[in-house]
Amino acid sequence: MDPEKFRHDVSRYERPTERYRCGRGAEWRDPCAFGPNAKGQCGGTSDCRPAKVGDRYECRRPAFAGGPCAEGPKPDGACAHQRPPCRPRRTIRSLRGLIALSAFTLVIAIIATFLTVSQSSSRAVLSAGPLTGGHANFTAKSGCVACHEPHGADTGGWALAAFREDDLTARCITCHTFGGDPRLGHNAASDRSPRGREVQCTDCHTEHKGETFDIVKVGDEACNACHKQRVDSFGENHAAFKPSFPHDRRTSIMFDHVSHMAKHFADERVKTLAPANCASCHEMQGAETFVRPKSFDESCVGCHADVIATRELVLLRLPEFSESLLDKERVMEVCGPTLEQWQMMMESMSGDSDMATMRGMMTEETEYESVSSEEASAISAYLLGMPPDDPDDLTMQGFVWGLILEGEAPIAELIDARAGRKVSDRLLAGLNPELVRRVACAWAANIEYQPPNDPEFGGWYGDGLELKYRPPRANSHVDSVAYEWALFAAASAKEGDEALIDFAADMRNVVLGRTEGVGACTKCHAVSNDGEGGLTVEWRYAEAQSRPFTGFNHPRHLTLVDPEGVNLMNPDAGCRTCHKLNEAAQYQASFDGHDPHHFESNFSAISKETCAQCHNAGQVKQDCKTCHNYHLEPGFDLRMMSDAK
Amino acid sequence: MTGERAITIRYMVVLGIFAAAIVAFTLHAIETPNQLGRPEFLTGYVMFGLMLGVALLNARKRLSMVPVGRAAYWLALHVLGGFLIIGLYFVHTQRIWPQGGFERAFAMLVYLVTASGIYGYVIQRFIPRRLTTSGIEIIYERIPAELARIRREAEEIALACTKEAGTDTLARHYLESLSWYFRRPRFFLGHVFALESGEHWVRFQVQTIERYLSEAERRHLAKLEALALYKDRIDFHFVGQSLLKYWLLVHVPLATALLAMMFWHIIVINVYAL
Repeated sequence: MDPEKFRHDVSRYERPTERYRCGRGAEWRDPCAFGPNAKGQCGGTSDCRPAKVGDRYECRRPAFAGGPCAEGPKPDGACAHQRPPCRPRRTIRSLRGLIALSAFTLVIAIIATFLTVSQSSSRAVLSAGPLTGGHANFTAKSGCVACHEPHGADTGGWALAAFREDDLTARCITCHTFGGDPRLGHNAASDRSPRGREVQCTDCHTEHKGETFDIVKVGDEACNACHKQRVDSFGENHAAFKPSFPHDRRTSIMFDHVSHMAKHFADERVKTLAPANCASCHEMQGAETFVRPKSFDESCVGCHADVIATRELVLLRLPEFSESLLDKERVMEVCGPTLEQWQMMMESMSGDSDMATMRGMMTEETEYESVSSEEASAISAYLLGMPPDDPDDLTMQGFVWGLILEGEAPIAELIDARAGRKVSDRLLAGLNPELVRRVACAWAANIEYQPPNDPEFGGWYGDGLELKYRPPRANSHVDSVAYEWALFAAASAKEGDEALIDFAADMRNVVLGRTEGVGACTKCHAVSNDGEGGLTVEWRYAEAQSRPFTGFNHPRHLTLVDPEGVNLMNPDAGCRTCHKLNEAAQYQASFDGHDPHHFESNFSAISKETCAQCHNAGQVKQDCKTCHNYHLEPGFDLRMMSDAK
Repeated sequence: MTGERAITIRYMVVLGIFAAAIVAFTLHAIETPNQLGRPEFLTGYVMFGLMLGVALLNARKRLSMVPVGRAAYWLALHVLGGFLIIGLYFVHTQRIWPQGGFERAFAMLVYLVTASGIYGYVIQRFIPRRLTTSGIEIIYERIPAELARIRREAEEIALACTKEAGTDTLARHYLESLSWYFRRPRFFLGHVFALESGEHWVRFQVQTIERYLSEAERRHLAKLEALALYKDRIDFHFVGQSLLKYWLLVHVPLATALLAMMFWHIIVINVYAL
């Protein structure tokens, strides 16, 4: 650069940072030497501003403009070279500042206008975007305040809200419900994840991203934020499944797949009744994680229809007495003579015997020999609190006398006493008091009760030394009496009377026994600890609760297994792709006890490798949410419905 | 080590540290969007800080007397900060085009500021080099005075030609054609795209009149042609320097509007989302 051209006598002093520039220069004419002043007024109406030196004015025209002029200033000090003033223009810098300030002001003004004109316009500058469809619908009535409390506050409260934390989660849970504390990880505290940091809904879910935005979608990083063992992908570093996976607990219904498939279904006698495939017995419609078995009436009844009616309940059994303590005369008065006594009386009537003589003959004390050599029933032992093999004669015979007088009432009384509530009407439903009296009368007479006919239709009946119940043959396999007795027996596990505990256990072994129990209920229905010191009969199919955050979509996988159609019994595909029979498992023995977790499935455990065949890098998706849920029992509160109206 | 080299090394160190910070933070921000703890607040406030930081370049230019580092450093940081802001914007919003009205206006401004910034950076790297090829240097604010001087000189040549040659052929040609050219900068678009339109126009005007001129007049015409070609280079400077100055009339107001919207956004977020 040539510095000479910036000499003071050839170069004018430019001030581009000032607000105004010469108007003549802006019109491409020769700009003046001085330029406009700070107020934007023209400073170039003359070539110079003469200076008074002594009593004379001297020209002060700058050197670069030609130096002092020949004419010199006028006597009054005015420059001799006058020009009309120009209209100064803003410099670029000034213009930039002005436009920038205007832009800033314009934005503020637009926001203020939108805030004040209407609710919808204010929403335009407050809302980050449309809500998802569901939220938009349910907050339509109450608006922003449905989720944002400060929105309903006055201006001061609104401004102060910027410095206060707004509990958005509290708003979410006015509509959304969960199985546990919504602020806890997975809505549930566990031993492995004790109550730690609180989790907010907005940690994972973001709103205002459009009507169709997938607000539920959460990436794996959210899981890894809390879980100590980081999982980058299922195939890469997901932990191996438990050795028993997914069979953590025995099923509520005992069904030995191994014996049925290997033996029973191959039996020529029932081959035609055997199921065609897994779907014959398992309900595929609507199945997700759990594929429920079909009902007994749909899948088992073909072969097992008769078994229920073959398992009877022995309510009472006449035990062996060492002596008869009953007043025979009173028994005869109440019950009438027995057939034997009647025959004796008829023979006597041929002579001259009077009535007293005949009665004396019938009630004559002879050497007593008990007609029974049996033990009392386990039920009566529990009800009366006596050992079945050595009952107290007086008590037992008094009980029989009570049956003679009152029918089933003494039994009902004892049942209700043991249960602690009125249940006898259900347990003894259908028991005819007259039947009880007749059976008791026979026993009081030390003879076996002879039923008038064969109880082929089931129900309560007496037979020799026993008063029994046989489940009737019916269309449904549900028998309410057997059901109630099973419940009664299971409840006896909580028997608090020390003296009765052993009797209760014996009764349970009889009533709930897998081989002898009434109605064969427990042949299939597991009897398990209820977690509260008692027992429960697992009447219904129960979905496993041990992995509430893990799911599996069976229908999708079945489609994948066989795209041509679900051929479930194909040993090379179908269900057996994952569910492989374990013929060595002691499956039935798993149901001997009451601990449902002491269990050996007759299916082999499913390993991670089974899933990783497809769920792996470059194959099927393998993110956490493919198999795992976050929330525990998510649901909705009904209040949301009223808010949406 | 020469002073120039030391400055270059310092410049590279600053840029390296800043670039490393950009990469580290961007990676962290990309890693965290689905983690708990609402990382959008982190990215948002970092963006806020960066926006204020890059806006300080304007203050730095106003306070040239304060020793706060070379303007080149500031410009480098401004450019890098701008790129980080646009990167963080995508990490922050997780999408290119948001849903809400305000958010869309905000996004539009972000994109316009970024686009104008990139445009400004590109022309700052490109135009000054082109200007040096013109062979002259001139301060932008002095261009009106220089054009006025050239115009005066051109008129004097036309008058001198008339006096000397006794004909007004060149003078009339000046009045009818060339005076338009000398009146102000011409061929703006031609200079923007380096089409040499002005030079072609001048040569065409000279060739048009040359055949009608005497030898004496041609000498004056040659002077006039040289002056016109010099003026063409002045025009080239005017166009180039105008582009370097006027893009800020777009960039700065848009950035200011963006700052205003950002303040409002932060207020709304603190009221509604925290």
